[in-house]
This record gives sequence, C-alpha cells and structure tokens, in this order.
Amino acid sequence: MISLPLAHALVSRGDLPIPVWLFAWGAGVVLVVSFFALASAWRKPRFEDAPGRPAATWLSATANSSAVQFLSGLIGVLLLAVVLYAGIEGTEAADRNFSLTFVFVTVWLGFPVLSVVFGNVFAAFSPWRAIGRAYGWLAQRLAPGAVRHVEYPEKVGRWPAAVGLVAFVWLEIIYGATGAAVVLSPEIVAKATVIYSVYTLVMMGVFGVEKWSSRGEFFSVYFGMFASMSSFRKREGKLERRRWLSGTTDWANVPGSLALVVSAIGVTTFDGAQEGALKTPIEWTQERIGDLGFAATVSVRAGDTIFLLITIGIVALIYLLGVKGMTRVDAAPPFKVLRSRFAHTLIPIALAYLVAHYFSLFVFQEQAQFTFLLSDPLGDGSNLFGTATSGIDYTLIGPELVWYVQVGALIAGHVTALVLAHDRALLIWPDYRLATRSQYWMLAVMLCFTSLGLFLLSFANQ
Amino acid sequence: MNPKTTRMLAAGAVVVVALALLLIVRPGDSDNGNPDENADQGQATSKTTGNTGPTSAPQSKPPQPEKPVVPVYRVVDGQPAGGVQKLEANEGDNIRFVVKSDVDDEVHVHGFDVSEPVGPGKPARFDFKADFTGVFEIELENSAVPIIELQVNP
Repeated sequence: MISLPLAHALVSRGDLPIPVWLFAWGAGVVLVVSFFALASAWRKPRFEDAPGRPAATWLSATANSSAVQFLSGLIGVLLLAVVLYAGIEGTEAADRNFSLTFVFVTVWLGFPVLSVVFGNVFAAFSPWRAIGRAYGWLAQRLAPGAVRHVEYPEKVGRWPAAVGLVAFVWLEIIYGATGAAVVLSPEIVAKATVIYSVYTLVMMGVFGVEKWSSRGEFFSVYFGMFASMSSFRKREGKLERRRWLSGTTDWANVPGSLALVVSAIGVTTFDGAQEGALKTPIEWTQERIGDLGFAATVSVRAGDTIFLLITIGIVALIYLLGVKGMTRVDAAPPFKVLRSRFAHTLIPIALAYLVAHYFSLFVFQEQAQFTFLLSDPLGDGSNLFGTATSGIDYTLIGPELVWYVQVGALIAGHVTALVLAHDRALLIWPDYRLATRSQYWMLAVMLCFTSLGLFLLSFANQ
Repeated sequence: MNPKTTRMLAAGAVVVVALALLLIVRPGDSDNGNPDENADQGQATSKTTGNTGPTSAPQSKPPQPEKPVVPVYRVVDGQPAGGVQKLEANEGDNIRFVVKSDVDDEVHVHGFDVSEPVGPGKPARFDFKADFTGVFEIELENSAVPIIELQVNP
C-alpha cells in the first residue's frame, strides 16, 4: 500500500518488539561467541599500527582532484541552501518538508554507513569546510599571509563535538518531541542551521578549517569516528588502504573522544528507551516537574532532558566500571590512561546501536526523500521530477527482516568491539595471560551494552 | 589441568548452558501464536460482513460473546481518558474503532494515513485494513495529542 503522509511527525511507524525466541537466540549467540573469543584468541596485536598501502592511482587522483573536491563541496553548499530555503519558505508539516528528513535521516543516518564503507566522505561534502576553504583560498590570493589562526587548545580536544552531538539530538528528539503538542518545525531547523553555520564558520576562522573540522564541528567529528573503521584513509594528500578497523586504534588519542563515543551510544539508547523501557519513569518525572508549576511543554522537555543525561551517564558508568576492573590486573597502567586507551572499542557498539534503532526508519524515510520530498521540497504542490505523488511503501521490508538486521547488528558490533578490546589489551599487557584476564572486564562491559540493546529492542510498549 | 584445557571446558559448558536455555525458551515462542490471537483474527475478519450497527450487534445476540465489539475511545478535555490506550491487531485484519471527543479536532492514524473529523456529538468511526506491521500513533491532528497506540503484529 502506498500512502501519502498528512501529519506532523516524521516517524509514522515504529518497530515491533523483537519476539522472545529471537531475543534468546541473540543472547545465546552473543554468550557463545564471547567465550570462544576468550578461549581461542590470538596472541599478537593484529590491528595496532597496521601499515597502509597506496590505493589505486586513478582512485587517489580522482578523489583528490580539484574538480571533484570543488564539485562535491558545491553540492554540499547547494544542499545546505535547499535546507535553509525549504525550512523557511516550505510547509510547516514536518514530514512533507525536505529539510527535516534530509538533515535528521539522510545525512545523520546515511553518512555513518557511507563513512564505514568509504572512509571520511563527509569531508568532501561538508558545506562549512567548503566555504571555509574557498574563503581561505580567496584570502590567500588577495592578501597572502594575512590569515592567522589561534592555536587550538588540545586539552579541549573533541569536547565541543560531543556537546554539539548531544545538542543536535536534543533538538531532534526532545525539543521536537511530539508528546504534548511539541513539534519540531522546519522553520526551527532552518534557524538552528543558520546559527550553527555562523558558529562553525567563525570557529573555522579562529582555529583553522581543518582543525575545527577534526575537533569541534560535530558532523565531521561524528562521521569521522565511523570513518576510522573503514579501510580507506587519506594521508599526505594520497588515498591509502589499510586493514579494516585498524584506523580506530589511534582515533581516541585526542582528549574528549571518549565523551563523544559515549554520547553517541547514550543518545541512541535514550531514543530507544524513551518510548519503551523509560516511558513510565520519564512521565512520572514530567508530572512532578509539572506539579512545581511549570508549563506542560517545559516539564516534558525538562523530564526528557534529565533522562537523556542520566542515560549518557549510565553508558559512561558501565564503561568506566569495566576500566576500573582492568586496573586490578597486574602491571595495569593507571585508570586515566586505560580509560582513553579502550575508548575506540566502543565505536562498533555505537554503530550497532545506530543500525539497530534506525534501520527501518532509514529505509522508509529515504523512500520519502527520493520521491515526494525531492519533487516537492517545500510541500506546496510542485512536482519537479514527477515523483511528488509517490509515497512510502511500508510493505517494502517486513518485520522479520527488521528484527534480523537489528539483532545481527548488535551481535556484529559486540564481536567487533571484543576483537578491538582484545587487540588493545595485547598491546598493553605483552603477557597474553594478563591480557586475557583484563578482557574479562571488557567482556562484561560489552555484554552489558549488547544485552541492553537487545532488551530495548524487545521491550513491548506497555 | 593446563589453563587452555580449563578455558576450553568453560567455553564448552557455556555452549551447553546456552543451548539448554534456548530449548527452554523456544516453546514459549510467540510465533506459534496463542489461541487468543487467532480468535481475534477470526473476529476481525467476520466483522466486515455484518452491516448491522456495531453497538447493537452484541445486545441483540447476548449468548454469543465472541461477537465483535467495536472499541470506543473517549477524549475528555482534549486528552485521552485514562491515558494513551493500546490497540492490538494482526496484519490483514480490518481495524475498527470509534473515537468520541468533547473537543473538535481530527483523528489521524499515522502510517496508514486515514483521518476522520471528530467533535461533540459526532464520533469518528474507523474501518481500514492493516496491510503492514508496526507500531503507529493515533493522534488528535490539530493539537498533536496522542490518544491510541496501534500495534499491528505479523
């Protein structure tokens, strides 16, 4: 059945909870795999410092050619302009306006997947990086040597990106929650985009385009985190291929990286739990805040915000307890060192959570993106490409496929995380028996995350 | 015993426990479908044939408790009475329900995208086929207040 949406909310269809038998199979496979990983693991690190080899010359030359760089940057800038134009001029019905689906689904969920496969492609399409580079190029022409940057405080590291990530998701699922008549309007998205663009361009001006892209611009940093899993990387202007996952090993060397990956897991967990497992306590809290005399909208948002922060805190706590446990192993480095040295092992968990929670939303919403939202971006009845009357086919993927993808993603993420953790342990404890002992703790951490993920998927809304 | 043997034994033990767990849980499999669900489905499809008023049907034949009752949901002061209600159905069912409201608005079923106006004295009646599965919000369109959560199971 094809249906044209009429309503405000972006998400029209929620996933069914996974059935008990699949939950049991998922949990069983995870347990078995985990113990085999411990029992029969390798004894020399395989991913640390894996050397890169040059990618095919034509590929490297094409990807780095000025034409391709200019064109992809231009596409990014044009799409940013469309988001702003549609947001301000288009319909206020969120699901019929190009802007919301494009920002929160196509870009936000699409680039992590693209990045894992092809590497840091967002760098080419980032509109802010493109504008920043064009400005830098022009300034260099007009007044050579006049552009000077402030040195970025490395202690701050990726913290601005972590804050930006939480703020972005807050805007999407808390400020724009449909609960009590709170709806994220395309106009607000456009305004937020203007504010963020100005902020980003100023920061790029102060600290330099590349520096801010790798530390503070949260789209770049967040997608870059997933790109570290890919086998492609760019180094000294050349494209390189390396062992898959090996790029994650030095990703967390920058301060604030742990905060970023923990936030990424935390916000997805909250989104999965707010309609299910956390629904009752959230509503209770919102009522208590309402009792204090706050308006309904304020108490709904405040209650959600409190639980978002609690969820991020719990994710951090699970990881930090595991790290604390590892410090008890003989010859362990101090807590502060271990804390950041295992942070990259959480990247696969973040990816698994993202896929498990948003796979079906992405598949359905992209149908909208490439049919009526493309032909009628403002929702004013235009039909640019003749696809304005097509809609979302909700029968395209059945519930079984969604369940298998969800559970499969969690299991794959779990295994990948264990592989990375074991590899890192071998680097820290050259004695493999100590390394294995330390990994009982990381195994516990990953089991917590995977069973939490399964639990959220299986939670039937009461 | 050397440590490697111990580890292999531990791994083996976990496999056995995990398989045992699976065998225990498998019979409770929701896929097998409990009789209630099947009965519901029968009801839902039989409803399409009856042209008599949905509320009068159960009264005219009291000895047949299986006869379908169209659920009625009430909206009081623009809010769902007793909080957001849950409505479950199976894929392929005809979903029928009535919403009565003391405020003027429009009742909208997400995903299936059917809407009916509602207001004091004019209840919104729904009858549509659930062609696909998922969890869908049913809300008062203008005030964006959710009133029912519709779950369509495979």
